[in-house]
Amino acid sequence: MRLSIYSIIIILTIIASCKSKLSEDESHLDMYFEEKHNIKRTDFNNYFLIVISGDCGSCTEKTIKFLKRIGDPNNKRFSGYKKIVIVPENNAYVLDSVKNTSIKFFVEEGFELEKYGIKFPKNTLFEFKNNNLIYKDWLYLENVDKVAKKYGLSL
Amino acid sequence: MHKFIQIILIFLTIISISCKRDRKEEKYIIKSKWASDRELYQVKTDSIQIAIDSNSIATYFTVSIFTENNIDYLFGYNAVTSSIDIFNLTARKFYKRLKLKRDSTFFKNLDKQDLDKNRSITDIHVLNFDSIIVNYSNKKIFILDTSMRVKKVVELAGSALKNKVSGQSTSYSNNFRMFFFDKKLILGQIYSVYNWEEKVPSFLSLDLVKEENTFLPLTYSNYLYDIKGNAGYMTAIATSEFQKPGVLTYGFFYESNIYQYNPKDSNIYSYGGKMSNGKNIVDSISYHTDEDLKKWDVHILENSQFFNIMYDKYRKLYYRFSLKNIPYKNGKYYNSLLDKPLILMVFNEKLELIKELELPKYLYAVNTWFVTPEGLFISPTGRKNKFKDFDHLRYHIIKIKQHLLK
Repeated sequence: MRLSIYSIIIILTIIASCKSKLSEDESHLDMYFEEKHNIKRTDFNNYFLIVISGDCGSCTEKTIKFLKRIGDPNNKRFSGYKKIVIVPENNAYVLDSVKNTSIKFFVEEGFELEKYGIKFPKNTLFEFKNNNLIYKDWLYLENVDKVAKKYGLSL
Repeated sequence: MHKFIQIILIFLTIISISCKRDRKEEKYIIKSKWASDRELYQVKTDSIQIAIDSNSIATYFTVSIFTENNIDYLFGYNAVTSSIDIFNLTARKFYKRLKLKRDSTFFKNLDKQDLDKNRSITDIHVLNFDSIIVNYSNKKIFILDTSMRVKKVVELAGSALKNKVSGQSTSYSNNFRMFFFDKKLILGQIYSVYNWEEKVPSFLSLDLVKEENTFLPLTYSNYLYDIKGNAGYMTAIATSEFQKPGVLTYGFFYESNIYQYNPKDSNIYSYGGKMSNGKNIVDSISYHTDEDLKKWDVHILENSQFFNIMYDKYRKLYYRFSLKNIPYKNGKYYNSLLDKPLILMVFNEKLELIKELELPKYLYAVNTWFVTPEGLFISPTGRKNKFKDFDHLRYHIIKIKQHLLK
């Protein structure tokens, strides 16, 4: 009997610790939003977060198409989601290509994304539901089509 | 007691890893030989600035230097205007902008950010004002004149070359820069699959007149074959357009050794280019398709990277820059490539070391260096350099001078 109570306590402890433990990416994003923008990431709740890479030229064209689709204010499918894009200044022309959308952009000057560990070799998409990271993938060449398909979009 | 054993185990692991690295360095890396007269050399730094218009850029990465009638010209690819901008370095003046023809089938879709190398001018080399060699995305080599008329086009795919070869010929301004050797254009040869058991040629020699191609007997070094090519982003050859006549000098991003090929005796001579601190040979990195690519970003940070070896024919010196390894973690933050210390090593004609200098942090932009009769140029436009000047093209000139004994 005593053994089974101990077992339950251990299992509950493991579940609790797993639930509260953030992924490395989430910890980095928390630190970035709190220190740089004084924003609590948990305020976003349901959201897509896209980090544009400053190094990946072959990512850009298709990523822009994808951003236009998910950021389209007439597309009610993602109306419950905030859309957030972090873009380094050397690739800030992405902004010119994605106008009149519901996307909130954070343009990063001074190459500080690396400092917070959120620099990626390719454009990266995160999907958060109730502030939990449920999906992460690269927005890179044909992989953008795969990601778009997952969300019922064709580019 | 348990904790004590843990500490001992961690300590032994650290010692074992560092011993393994030492053994690796001992096996593959040649120690630098200091020149006996190194004390006679002094370093001085000057700076220049050239007024530029709003269409010019403050940092040119794809450049070539051409000297005529004692005037040094810088030819730089400007992705924003899709042009080749020419500066008269001697007179400190902007000279000319050569617009790459936008109505041409080949140049109309260039990436203005210059991030997508499939839509870019990856490299240029200037023979004279009437022979500007332009590498268009490693697809075609164009020879242009100053009116931007196409004098010749050579397809670069291995199968398109006259002597059909496997693989793809490439050159980038930051990785295997194309250059002339024995009157032929030298390019890097890469393959879609390597078995790493048998050495394959990595240098292609292209005769632009006859349009004939042959391989030079040069390959990646033994270390890369021994680690089955697992050098991450650093699986690259470092070459320069500044070559000592008669020999071909090159290196690899992943190790500090310097190599010199002499076609007269067909020998490859190896020299030490070892930094006094930091790693001199890259750690092997395995990668599986389901792994996070960030692993490679961390790997390039935690290893040193060795750039091309430039010969200064005016002073009979060689220069080589490198970025020293740093840890990924920096307290609660993280380091980036921009945080890596930039090291300059200067060698004499015998490739004996004269100077090893750590340059000021964040000041310089890598891959902006070149040699003229004035000295070694480098652009003080590092991305983290807080001083920004968009009205001038600025360079620092590192001048190494030998003082003769009285």
